[in-house]
Amino acid sequence: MSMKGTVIVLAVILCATIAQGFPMFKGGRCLCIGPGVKAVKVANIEKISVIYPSNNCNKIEVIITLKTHKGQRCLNPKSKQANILIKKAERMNF
Amino acid sequence: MLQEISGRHEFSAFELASLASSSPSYDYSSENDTDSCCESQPCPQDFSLNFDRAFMPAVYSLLFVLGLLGNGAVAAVLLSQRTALSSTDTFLLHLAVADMLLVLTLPLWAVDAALQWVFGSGLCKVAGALFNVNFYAGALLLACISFDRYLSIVHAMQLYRRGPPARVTFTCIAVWGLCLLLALPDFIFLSADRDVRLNATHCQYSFHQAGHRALRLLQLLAGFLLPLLVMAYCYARILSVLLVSRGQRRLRAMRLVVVVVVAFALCWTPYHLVVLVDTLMDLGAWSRNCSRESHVDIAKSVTSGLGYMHCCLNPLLYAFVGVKFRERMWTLLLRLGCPGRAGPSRQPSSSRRDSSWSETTEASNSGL
Repeated sequence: MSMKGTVIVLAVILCATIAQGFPMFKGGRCLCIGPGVKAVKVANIEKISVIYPSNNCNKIEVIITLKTHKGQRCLNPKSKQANILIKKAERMNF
Repeated sequence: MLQEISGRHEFSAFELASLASSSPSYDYSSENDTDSCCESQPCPQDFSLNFDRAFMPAVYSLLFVLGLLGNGAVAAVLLSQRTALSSTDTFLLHLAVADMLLVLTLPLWAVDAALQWVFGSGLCKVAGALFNVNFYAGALLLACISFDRYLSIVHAMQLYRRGPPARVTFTCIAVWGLCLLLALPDFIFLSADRDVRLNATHCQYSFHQAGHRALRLLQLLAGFLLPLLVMAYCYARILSVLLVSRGQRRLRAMRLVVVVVVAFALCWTPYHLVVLVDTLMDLGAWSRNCSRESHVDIAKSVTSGLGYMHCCLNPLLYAFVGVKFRERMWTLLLRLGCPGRAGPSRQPSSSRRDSSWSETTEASNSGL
């Protein structure tokens, strides 16, 4: 009955995993991995994006674009600077 | 402020200026841009998205053509039959219809992968539900076929063939009804939403209810686990019976049984292994990083394509492995190609009432 066992194992894998649905119904992942930086010098900031939780990523993300092509940084959303930015963004939305 | 904020807020240059001037109290002493490099950079999903943009439309169009042709051929041959369909043949016909309906939605997903979902929420709900209905129908009909064979081989009992054809019809109606019920949540919760992180609209679930996990678990049990266990049990019993008996026909019948299960496993196992890795990363058991994420995304695209390929394989496995199907196919093609000569070329075997293709059924007729 090794085949039966194999199929049952397959079914269990299936059970553990299919709950997230087919990839065609999925959107993008979270953009930030890990905690992110605590703060960024305001003088270096070119652009700030506050991205709210969506169906595909359940955390708030603050992404900062640095000046002079230094790339982007994820700001730790729990940090003091991020909190001020998030509050500011909320105020502007309402 | 209880209302949930969604979307994305971008600060303009003016706002930035006011931010810099109005908040001089930040403590930046600990901050240094250069040493906090790579770890804190956002993950660009460009690589996997670009891969999907090229790969998915190609695979989906291929599967669309193959699936329509293969399943169309099966349906045409079955419907051209003069005699009443046997129970296995009826299930095979429904399976072909389910597979055809599933591949019919693939062009929409191809456009979704190449650009974004441009068809609106209504079509998102309908296409998503149609996809899921036929996915479940495929699994449940495979289970029905295995149960039918199990009864006829192991118990030498022909539940469907001797009874009124209404019994088969009822089973099929029950299967489709169950599938519609299972896909109802998809119809309700799917919608074309703008994804702020991808900056594009996609057809996705808008789950906010806490009960959605329970719902998906129910779907999983009824749509996957049940058919899989039924198949496993039935085919294991069939194999044990066929292994005891000997004979050329039985060996062939066994080959078909093994091919069916192996094909199902080969098509769907890689995808579920990849999703398992993704789930492990979600749970934190395996650490996440950008390149690993994009590898998983690409692996998911490739293996899901392999999984959808199973609906193109069904006609090949269930039909083309059978010798009689090929005969009938040629007969049908000859009849279509040169109508004058079609009459005499018809196979005498087509008047037999048992399943034309499934050799396990033949094995059962030949003395089991």
